[in-house]
Amino acid sequence: MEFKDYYATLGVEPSADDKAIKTAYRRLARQYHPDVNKEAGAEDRFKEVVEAYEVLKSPEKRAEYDQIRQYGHAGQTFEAPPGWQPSGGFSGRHEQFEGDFSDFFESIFGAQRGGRQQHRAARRGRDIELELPVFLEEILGETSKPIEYLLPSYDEHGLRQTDQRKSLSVKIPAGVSDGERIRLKGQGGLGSGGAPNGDLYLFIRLVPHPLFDVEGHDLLITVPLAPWEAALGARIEVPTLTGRIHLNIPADSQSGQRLRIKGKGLPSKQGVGDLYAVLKVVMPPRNPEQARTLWTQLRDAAGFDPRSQWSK
Amino acid sequence: MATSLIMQLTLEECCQRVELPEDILIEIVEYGIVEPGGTTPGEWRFDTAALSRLRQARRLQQDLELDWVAVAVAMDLLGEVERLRAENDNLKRRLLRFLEP
Repeated sequence: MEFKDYYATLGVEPSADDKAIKTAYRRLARQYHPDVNKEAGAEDRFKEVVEAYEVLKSPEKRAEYDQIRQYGHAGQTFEAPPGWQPSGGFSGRHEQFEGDFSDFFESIFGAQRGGRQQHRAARRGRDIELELPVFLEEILGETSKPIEYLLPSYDEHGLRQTDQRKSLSVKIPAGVSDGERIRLKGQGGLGSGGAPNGDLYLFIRLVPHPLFDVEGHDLLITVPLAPWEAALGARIEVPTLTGRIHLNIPADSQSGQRLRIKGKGLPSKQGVGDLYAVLKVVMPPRNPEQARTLWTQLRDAAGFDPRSQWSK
Repeated sequence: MATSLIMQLTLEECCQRVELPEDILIEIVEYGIVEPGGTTPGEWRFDTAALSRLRQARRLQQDLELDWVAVAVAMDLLGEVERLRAENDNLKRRLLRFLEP
């Protein structure tokens, strides 16, 4: 296994005092805490920092580690010295990473969690929170969606084992909104000693749709129009989440104007939302000679100044 | 698989779930980190969103060695950042639809 240089992890000298170690930990924890920093890799870095601090903040563990440190250096493989006995039995408090310290840590200090007092005691399984990406089409009616997730598992001594892969089919409630939580009772971590399992919480994330934007329970779709369609009015086809419909564009429509299509939004407890067609007037990419002639006639006849506000 | 959106935990049940002592949980409610339904601690009911916020509060308090007032401030700001990010993403997407040919 790889040797861990806990001093380097915290960016302190091996001679650093407790205060310097504490300050370094707080600074790095603040920087990489997964609740604060959503960047990839932040959580792994944070776990390393927590592990390093777990060792260096305790005088006994630090002394033990300093002794071990004479045998290895960062980047090298590490073998515990002959006759070394993991000290074990201490009480860590970082339960959110239960048993999640490195093999290097466990070879020196023994396994973190289950080896402690909870061993064989009845203990409710952990609750697990997961993000569940959901497509807009899936919340129109009651849909079932297969999900797969990993359950942490422990052997009878409380040592962390390979995670168990678990599959479920989840009913997505109609009209569920972004950020809502769905609870699946008993589908979290396994309870021990006859205690119940934890629950699984699914945190709903609506996946951005290629055509529709969400505004509460209403949907928006941007509808490109030719200039003459906006000027003269038109009857066009517009996609909705459930199929195409016909929409009348009134004459003299403007870019940015919204037309309401009732009842074609997302379902909710208060009823179904609406779909808004947001109009966007688009110029043809090229104008052949004949069209240019017509635009010229229009310019001379329309008497329209789009920047009249500036001249006031 | 049955799913449910509604869950109502009493103060005692909530303490067990998030592994926090009752006096601490009462303090947390006083700082407004979670806002359970009901007026007196005996009537308080905590929902799934409160449970998730409590877990986050406990993580921040332990990992960053903060006091509960600092946790309350941090969570307010983190929530605001998340809300603004989501709104910004949404507006950016809508703007792009308008700018793209």
